[in-house]
Amino acid sequence: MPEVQTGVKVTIKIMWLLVEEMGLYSTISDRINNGARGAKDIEFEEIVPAGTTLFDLIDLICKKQPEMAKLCNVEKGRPPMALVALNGRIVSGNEYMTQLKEGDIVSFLPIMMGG
Amino acid sequence: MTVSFWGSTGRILRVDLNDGKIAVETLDEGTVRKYMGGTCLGMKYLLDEVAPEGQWSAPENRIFVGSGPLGGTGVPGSGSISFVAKGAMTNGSTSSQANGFFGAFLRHAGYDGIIIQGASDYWQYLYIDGEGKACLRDASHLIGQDTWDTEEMVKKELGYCEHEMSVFSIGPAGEHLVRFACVVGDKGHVAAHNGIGAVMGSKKLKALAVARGKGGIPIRDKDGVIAVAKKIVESARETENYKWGTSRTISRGEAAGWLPVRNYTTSVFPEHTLFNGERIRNLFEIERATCWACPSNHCHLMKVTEGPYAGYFGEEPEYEQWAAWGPQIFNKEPGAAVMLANEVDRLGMDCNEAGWVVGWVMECYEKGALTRDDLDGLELTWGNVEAALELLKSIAHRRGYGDVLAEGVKRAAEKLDGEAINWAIFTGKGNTPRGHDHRGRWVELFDTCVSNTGTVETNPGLIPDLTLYGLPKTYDIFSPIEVSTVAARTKGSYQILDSLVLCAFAVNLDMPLVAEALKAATGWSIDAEEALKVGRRAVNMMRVFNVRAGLTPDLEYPSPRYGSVAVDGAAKGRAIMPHWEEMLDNYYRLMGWDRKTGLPLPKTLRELELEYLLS
Repeated sequence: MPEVQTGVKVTIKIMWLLVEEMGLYSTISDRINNGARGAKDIEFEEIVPAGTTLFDLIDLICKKQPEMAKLCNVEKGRPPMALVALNGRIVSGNEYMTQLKEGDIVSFLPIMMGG
Repeated sequence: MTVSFWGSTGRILRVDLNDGKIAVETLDEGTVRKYMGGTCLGMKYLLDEVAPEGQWSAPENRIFVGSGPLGGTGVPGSGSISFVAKGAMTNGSTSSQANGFFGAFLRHAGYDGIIIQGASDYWQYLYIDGEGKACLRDASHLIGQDTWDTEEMVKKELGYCEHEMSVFSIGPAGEHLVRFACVVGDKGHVAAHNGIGAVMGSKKLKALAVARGKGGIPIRDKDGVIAVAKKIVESARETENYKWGTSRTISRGEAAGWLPVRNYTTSVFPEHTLFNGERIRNLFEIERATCWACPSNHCHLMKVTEGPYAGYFGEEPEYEQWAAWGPQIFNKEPGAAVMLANEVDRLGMDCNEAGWVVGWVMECYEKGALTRDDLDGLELTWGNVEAALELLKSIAHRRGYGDVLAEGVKRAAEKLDGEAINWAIFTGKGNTPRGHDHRGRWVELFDTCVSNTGTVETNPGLIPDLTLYGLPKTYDIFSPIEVSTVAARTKGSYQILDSLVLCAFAVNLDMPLVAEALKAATGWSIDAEEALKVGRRAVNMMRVFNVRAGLTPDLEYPSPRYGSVAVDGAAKGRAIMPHWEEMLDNYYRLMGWDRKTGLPLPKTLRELELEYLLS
């Protein structure tokens, strides 16, 4: 019997600047093994149901990790309070409806502040 | 203190360099409430007194140097100053701000602003003492001096110590009418944009000096202003700028694809971590330096402690200086970037345009469009800091090929045959993009091209709450419609701060708080919406002036490289140009401007009480 694929494994990365910006640094610092100078990137894997879109993933992460809701959960169907990159490229428009594939890397980056 | 109305000194100093006459003019409350000060008030003078079709270098051009109704109060960043003139880069309106102390001291001396007109036959500088007495003094001995040395020399000869006087001056670049010459004061604070330093140079005005006086500021409710100031201070202490300066932006930009690297030929710069403020402020020796009433200290004085420039002392670069003298020219040595940033300030040139010029020359050198012979023996390879420094000195003094480059990258590229024009970063109007790779930051790419100030007009990334502008909390940074909508809707947000002449970093663009401070200072019943209307008024005044000056909609485009598609990084493959006309259509509709002429529609001008500009 061929194995039925019920989930895909994706990697989620949160850039260290965002970790600090959103106040996540102090609450989950034990997870991120920070050094004396600021936070580290957060990186973890998730297995999501086949057919999960980027918008779905954002919702999912927000439910599982309340701190992430601060940076993601703005308004259903709107870009989150962070830049989202899929495999290194920032997501825009209908790309939020992209169905995730095995091995995809979803990165959360800070918005355009400063300068 | 005689107070005719609250929030203003009610006085403007007019200096005529044609005959050396200095006069005091009065301001009425209606004018101040409508135009506030700084940018908006300066634009009123520019529209009233300067023929738009004239040249920036003509004696008839004006320089307005203004503070605003909160200038010199306890509100953080209220020592800033706004310069308004017809600028050298675009030959259109200029609005350029510098932080520091000048605005506060000017107000304490009894003036909301200075109008400078005419041109002198010989070099002079303006001196205003603490009681408001003003005179022009010979500046021949200051010629050739850089901006920091000029500041020191003026203070010394007038008998003032540090922080007893604020001096803003031009360096050799302004003296030689380099189009992107700037005005520098209070050790590294710069009114950088659109060649305001060249305009000063064309008038043979080397410096402006104002002593710290004891005159009071006419504030209606001092306790109210102090209460707001305290809120702003508390808020400022939470910001990244407070802790680390603006240089962390280097890492933000690299991650998100908007760090300018090697003249936009790549967006990847792993060495961004070397330039990060967290590292730099722990590595280099820091000397605290603040602006008027500001706890933010987002720029320190700094001594380089490692590398070939160990021992160099200057101001801590701002993000845009780090960007220009780090990734843009592919220099990976932070100490060298500190050195170049300060030397460019001392020479008196806008770091942004200077960075685009040097990066373009380096690309031309790499590709053979410019040779060592063309460049007077300099080897402008990527990251060659010493060669870059020599080139910058040549530009400031208009020596050799520096004379061509002193016209800015657009005009220099237009003179060079072949492909080189396609590698230059500029806009159709000739104004200078800020120090980003805007291909990953569309709103600023678009805004820089449609701007009327000589630089970018809005920066939504710094606005804490977009809902105040009728926008959703977030927007899609690569959506043509959302980007052009955000650019239009946030118009006025910076111009009101530049009319109150407050530092955007210090007050964190918190418009409700700013309006609260304004209400306390003036006694006016004013809210954020009315304040923002003043900002939009300024934008529309600049627009009218610029269209009359010939800066029409057909010039609102990026150069081929500026509007190109990034080949790598997080913005890889995003193409703005296929959407350009659609974005302009949407923007003009939202701004209430005529798509063909570029002028504000009559309805728009009436809503902003600018009917007099209809004719």
